[in-house]
Amino acid sequence: MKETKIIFLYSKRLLLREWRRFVLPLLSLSVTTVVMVLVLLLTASSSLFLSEQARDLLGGDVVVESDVPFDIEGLWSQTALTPIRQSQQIDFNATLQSESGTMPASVLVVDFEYPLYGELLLEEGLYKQANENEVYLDKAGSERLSVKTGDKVSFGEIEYTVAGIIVSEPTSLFGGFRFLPRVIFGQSGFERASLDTSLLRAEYTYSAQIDNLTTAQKELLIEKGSENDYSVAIAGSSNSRLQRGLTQVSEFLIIAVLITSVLAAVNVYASTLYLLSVLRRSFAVLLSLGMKRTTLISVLGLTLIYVVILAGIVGTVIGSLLFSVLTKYIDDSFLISLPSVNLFLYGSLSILLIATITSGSFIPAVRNVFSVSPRRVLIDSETTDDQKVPLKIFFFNTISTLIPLALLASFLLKSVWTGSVVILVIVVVYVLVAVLFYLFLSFIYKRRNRFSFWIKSIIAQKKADGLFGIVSFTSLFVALTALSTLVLVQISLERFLVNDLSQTVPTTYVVDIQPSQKDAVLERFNDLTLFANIPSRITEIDGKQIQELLARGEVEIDRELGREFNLTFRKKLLASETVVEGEKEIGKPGEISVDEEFANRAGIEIGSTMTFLIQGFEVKGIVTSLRATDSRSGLPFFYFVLAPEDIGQFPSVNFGYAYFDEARQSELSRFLATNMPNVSVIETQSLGPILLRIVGTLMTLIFVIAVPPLLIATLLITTLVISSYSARRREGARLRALGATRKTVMLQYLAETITLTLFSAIASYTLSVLISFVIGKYYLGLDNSALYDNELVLGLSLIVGLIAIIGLILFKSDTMPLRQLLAYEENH
Amino acid sequence: MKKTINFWIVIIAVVSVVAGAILFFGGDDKIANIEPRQVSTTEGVKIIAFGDSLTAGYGLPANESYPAQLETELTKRGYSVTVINSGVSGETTRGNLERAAFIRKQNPDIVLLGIGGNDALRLLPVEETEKNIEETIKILKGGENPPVVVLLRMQAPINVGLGYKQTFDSLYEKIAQSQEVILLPFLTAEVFLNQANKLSDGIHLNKTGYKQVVDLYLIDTLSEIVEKITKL
Repeated sequence: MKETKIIFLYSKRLLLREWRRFVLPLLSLSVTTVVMVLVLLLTASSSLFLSEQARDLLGGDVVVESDVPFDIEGLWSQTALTPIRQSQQIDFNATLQSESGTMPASVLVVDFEYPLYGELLLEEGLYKQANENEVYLDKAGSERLSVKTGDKVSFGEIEYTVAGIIVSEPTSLFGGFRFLPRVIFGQSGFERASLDTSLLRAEYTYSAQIDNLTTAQKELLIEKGSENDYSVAIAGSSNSRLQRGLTQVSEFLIIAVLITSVLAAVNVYASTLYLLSVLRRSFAVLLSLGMKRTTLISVLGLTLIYVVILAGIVGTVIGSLLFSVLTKYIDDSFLISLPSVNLFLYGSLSILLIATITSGSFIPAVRNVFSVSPRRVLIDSETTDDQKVPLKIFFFNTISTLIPLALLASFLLKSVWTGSVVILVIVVVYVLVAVLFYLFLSFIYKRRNRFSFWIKSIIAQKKADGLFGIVSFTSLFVALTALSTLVLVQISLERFLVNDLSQTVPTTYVVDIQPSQKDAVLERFNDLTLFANIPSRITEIDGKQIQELLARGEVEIDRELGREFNLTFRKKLLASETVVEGEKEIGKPGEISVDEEFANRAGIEIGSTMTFLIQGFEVKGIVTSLRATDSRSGLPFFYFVLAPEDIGQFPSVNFGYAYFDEARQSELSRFLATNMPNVSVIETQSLGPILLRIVGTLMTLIFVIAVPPLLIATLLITTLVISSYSARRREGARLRALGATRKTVMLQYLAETITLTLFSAIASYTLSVLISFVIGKYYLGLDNSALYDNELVLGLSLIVGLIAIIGLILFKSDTMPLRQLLAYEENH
Repeated sequence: MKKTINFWIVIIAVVSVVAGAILFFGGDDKIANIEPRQVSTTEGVKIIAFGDSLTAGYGLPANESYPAQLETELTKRGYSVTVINSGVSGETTRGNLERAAFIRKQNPDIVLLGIGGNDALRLLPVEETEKNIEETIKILKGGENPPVVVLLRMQAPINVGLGYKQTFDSLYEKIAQSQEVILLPFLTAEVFLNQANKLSDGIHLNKTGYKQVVDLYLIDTLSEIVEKITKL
């Protein structure tokens, strides 16, 4: 018989006769493929969705602004870019009138392409371009003019019909705050007003659709924009709070995929080793029948290929179906339409990953096959080679398994270096844990006589487990560490999104409250927090006469130092501030607390002297503290804080914020409009629903992405427990033959399993705190990383419980008679 | 017929020129009536430029603002003066009113009052602006030995609406007459409509713009006022 035919025949026979032994690896590999496909598809789709969100919120892939009319085509030619579409907007303040009143308004003139991305929501439904006789107003505008849709308003001498009431603008989250109600004109309507645009104090904006911008093109755009004095914003590159949030979620998705991949790799690895370990006796039989070792390896390899192909097909089909169901569910429940992605690409990538890791695990198996001694295996007296060189094999196994992971990480992180470093760290942790466990086991094995019989037998059994025992423990440890890290990072990100991004932003800002108005405002609205603002100029830093040097044109002095700065006085830090250097207390006479970032830019240090010029008066002080300010909190931000004793006597205006509900907000607006028209109120209430919707979307994506890894981790743990039990059956039978009761053997097995899991859970949690802190701080840029979570601890406890239950079920359901268990033919 | 039209054109032109001259040089009487006063031997004539960002020199180093340039020019002409920049960016006339007592306490010899621009940009009620400026002037002119107050004329941008612009722009003349203060042009179309005189924000002037303001509208009149004050 030809060798090829033999290989196919025996691999088929092996699969059909020993099919029970393939069930667990097949199931495990299938579920792993399902999870990998699902996570990769969800991540790709979510990343696409997030970039679309960033683009929608900005109003274009590229948005260029200037205070004077400009030739956008010049910028496109300078950067060699050709937008697919572009839209022009003009923004300025003007007065509108109705029969019942006059209202200052923030006017936006838009063209037919507007909005390029996102939606302009109206109370009446969908927005359509206003014709030359129409105008749109927001709710505040319609209330102030006492008009509704269909009513007339006039702009100058021209009359317009209100075509609809604006609920939200597509760019309202990034468009900054407006003092005045919004009015939108179409270009033809604006032309009817016959305003000379060259006389307008307006902002001119161009939004453009440009697909697939490269980093070099983005940099060139910024550079050319700066040269021309334009402000250029690029979707996804902005450092604004929400853009940062979108970026962080995208980065979290990559972490989730990497962690899933690590879990998948360990799972495949464990499954393959399990399969090889349970098939060992079959190899021995085939060798004793005269099969060549190389043929045997081919038989085994082909059998594994069958399993991988079957698992790949099953996993990809189920994964794709699950993705379709899940995206439909997300669409129906959360109104988030995840864009479609390339199923074939990500399905193939998942199968490739699983196949490569299986091959990696198969390579050491070849060595094992060569080392199999049929006589020893069949009379059950082999001393396995893996016990002689466990570390060498372990290293080889680990590295060969993790190479495909490094490739995947490089692909996801778009950098071979970063990808390799990330996987190298995982390898180091994996190997370190394995070595430590091996050394610990060897250490207590030598001293096992000091322990009771129970503990002694557990130690002996663990030692006897050899390589598989080490791999099991390390895999469990890595799985739990990955799981804990994912949960902790997820919690940190959730906290950032919910607390930092949405809740700390005040609902209301008030600007320009004069000293004589302060008491009256606070009497009525005592929950307003006010800060005094005193404009000044820096005249001296450490003896350098700043204004004089600037007047002389000294290039080494930053021109920014010449401008006005707002000083404030207080003795307490805000919740958004921390002293990073110097005196912890601020606001002492003669002392100045400076923002750390500004201090670095201006060369200001602790001990520096500064002089400010406030309306003709000089105020001197020594810098005694540097403060870090969380500028994303939405709370007021000051470069300089001085003592009330030093600057409290100067005239100041007050700026403040509050967290008001809609009713209180209206009360404040009415009060100020009636009594203090000079005070401006900036409402962020209308932004709330949009912000919450976006934060809700991000949270949903995070949750959806984080669940599959949890499933795979649970599956892995189950595989490990079953593998461990499978290897333990014979020892249990031996103990029972020596007189131990079935209950004693069961308790011993459970104690061994639970002890190891518990130990692994505690160690992995500790390590994951460190890892999630590093990821949160240095990768995601989160200020506060979660270090503890009740639910995570409960989850880990449940895993320990789950392992105990699985062990118990396996033990209880194992009704094979002792005689049969001890017989060599059916002892697995 | 043609002769009749020409006659009326000439009459209208003459009346306009005379009226314009009266309005523009109306300050002359006020300057002529300025009494000499004792000035500081160290500071010389103490001038406080009191106003908003146009006084503060928003976006510019201190020496490029109009008060600094005015001090330089007056000094060049041989006058001993100190011009204090008391401009606060973003300030409305209500803020100016609140600060007026603080300014008055410093006993200036001259106060240059350049306020109201932010009221127009924020479309605050013109009546409120008028009231605030009048109150501010009253405070500045109160007490013993009051300073000479010079009101600088601002203009509203065109996009605030023609009605608002007309009312706002006419405000300064009205106040100057009612409060008997000297009125000088400041933010005129001549200076403002030249892009080379403005910062990129399109609102504030740059060094060149302020130089033109000083040269065209301020330096001669201020020299005259300083001359009067120091002529003991």
